Amino acid sequence: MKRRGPFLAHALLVAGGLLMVLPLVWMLCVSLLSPADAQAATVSRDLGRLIPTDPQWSNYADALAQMGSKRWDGFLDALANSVVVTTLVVAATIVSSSLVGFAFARTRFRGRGPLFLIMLATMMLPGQVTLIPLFLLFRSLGWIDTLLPLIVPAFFANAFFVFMYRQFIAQIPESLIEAAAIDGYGWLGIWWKIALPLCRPVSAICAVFTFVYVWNDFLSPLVYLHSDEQATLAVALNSFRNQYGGITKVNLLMAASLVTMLPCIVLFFAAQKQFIEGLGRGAVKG
Amino acid sequence: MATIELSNLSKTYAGGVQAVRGATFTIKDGEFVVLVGPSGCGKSTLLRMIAGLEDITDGTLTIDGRRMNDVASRDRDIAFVFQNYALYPHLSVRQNLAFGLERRRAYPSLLTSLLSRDYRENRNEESARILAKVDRAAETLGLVPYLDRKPRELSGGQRQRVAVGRAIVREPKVFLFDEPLSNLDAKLRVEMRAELRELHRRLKTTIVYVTHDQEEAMGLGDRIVVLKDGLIQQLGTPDEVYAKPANTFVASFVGMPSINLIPGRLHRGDLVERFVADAITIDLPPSMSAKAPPGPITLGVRPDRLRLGAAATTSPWRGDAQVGAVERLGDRTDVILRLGPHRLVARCDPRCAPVEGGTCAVGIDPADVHLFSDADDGDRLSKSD
Repeated sequence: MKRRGPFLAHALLVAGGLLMVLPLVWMLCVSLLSPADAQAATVSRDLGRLIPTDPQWSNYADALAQMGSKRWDGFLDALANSVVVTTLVVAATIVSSSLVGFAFARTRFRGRGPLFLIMLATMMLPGQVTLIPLFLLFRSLGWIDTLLPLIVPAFFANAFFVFMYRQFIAQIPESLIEAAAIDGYGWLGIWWKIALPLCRPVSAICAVFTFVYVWNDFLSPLVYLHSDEQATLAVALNSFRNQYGGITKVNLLMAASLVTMLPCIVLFFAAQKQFIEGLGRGAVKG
Repeated sequence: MATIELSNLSKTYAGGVQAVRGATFTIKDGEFVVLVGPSGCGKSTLLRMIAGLEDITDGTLTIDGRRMNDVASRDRDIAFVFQNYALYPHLSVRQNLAFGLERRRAYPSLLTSLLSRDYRENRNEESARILAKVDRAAETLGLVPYLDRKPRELSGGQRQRVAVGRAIVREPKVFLFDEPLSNLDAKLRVEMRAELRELHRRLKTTIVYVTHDQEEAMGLGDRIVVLKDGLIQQLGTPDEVYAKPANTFVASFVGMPSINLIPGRLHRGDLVERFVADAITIDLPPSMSAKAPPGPITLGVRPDRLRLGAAATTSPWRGDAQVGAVERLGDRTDVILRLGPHRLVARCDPRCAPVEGGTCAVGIDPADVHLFSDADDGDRLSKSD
């Protein structure tokens, strides 16, 4: 009797896990097929040919080389752009959100309450609503087809992470802040030396989620970037589609997609704890 | 080394609560002053005002003659030891100790040191100085084996030492302690008390210390300040405060078990003044109550001054009391007595303790009594010679 419960639960979890991993396995299989097999397996739905009996590892090199319009350069440019944007956005989000969260949690100023509410209210605005005004704004600044529209907003904090930092910093004992003040630190020093190191769990969550979001973000780069040299990986993948949206080399697309996903997959395994914790925190964000 | 002067210092919170009212006194250079009182008496607020952690609503605070009202905490040259120690949890003991010194570096920037050789040498020399100071403090407090541990890996007593160490490495003008021993167990508390006293003897730095424990206050302070409801009740050496309490509040707050307070009336005859209560009549020596008009009055007598059994026979006044509970504490015994309507506590030698439930002679010597007016917290009426 005692054993049946866990067994059932495990069976369900295994089934769920298989279901979740299926698309990934499918991608892996297709990425190793020859063009003919890939076409058959995807378009003609001949699932028997899905299993790569003769894996084409060269697909990976071909895929990366053929990304964008110039051989290899397309991929390398896109990779560099993605790395630059993602790194800067992650760092900027942590720094700015924790600073703003610290201010809301620890300093008293006129209008703190209303300002905090207004900031939270920005979370209720879907991104699509601000897309066109933002585009016009960045165009007037001459930033279109540069990476700036993707990076600069991160320096102005993210409402959700500000909220998380504020909640966390509010729990730091007042005496720690006072001790640091007596030890000679001002607000900035206390934020940098005390609050930020103590917020490591929040920063980890913030880093992981921001990384995944920015790395995979397709819409913003698509809207703000036009030329091949500025494309990020998510946009560059699009070069495998023809002008009508059809996919001619599905095996190469899958290979390139897998490579693109790789950092996220690695990150997920490295930071599973933060992912789960972050989802939990998100669930009770109130 | 610093003299602290408080002049009419007051604190009113936004809600209108007056935490401290007109505190005026001077703490001499090198003195160990203890602020003591029940919770909510304003002692911590007063300390935090001296530290600059609370704004001063009214009055002035000077340290070494410099007005400090609007000076930030970090510029007051003070160190503060918090009740919960406030150790930085992400830093090792060594880093905790060095934290304040790092901020006060004359050669702070690592970047500059890359460019200038002079700067680099000075910086290294300064780092060595900081480490030496940290090591010295760690040695003083027996923290050397724990220097690389994080605060969470330390026991309560060790954390407390680190908190004290963090204060002494800075070599400030004034140490401020906010109930630093209240989180320790009783035995450790007594040990640390002796160590703090010893530390003060060695450093000779001005210390202001807050506690709610009267025993701690008496044991540590050169002088103690007794507070209630934001008002200073009495300021004096532990002996003065014990021997000549300024009012019934101080009398009952200081001393364990608490002083016996007996309400009664003062009669002034031709020859003697006489205290009369139910079941008790004591003739007072002429020197006792010069200030008191005849009428209601409160008499106080400390438990150790009540004489029991054979010792009572020589007392000018004696009576028979019912013996209630008898608490044997080893070196001494506390006895609860019923004398008419009065409940008295006596402290006596264990060898001559009375039997529970029996009767016992009790005597009071007029020289041992304190007279107070009968108001709430009645003022002392006995002459304070």
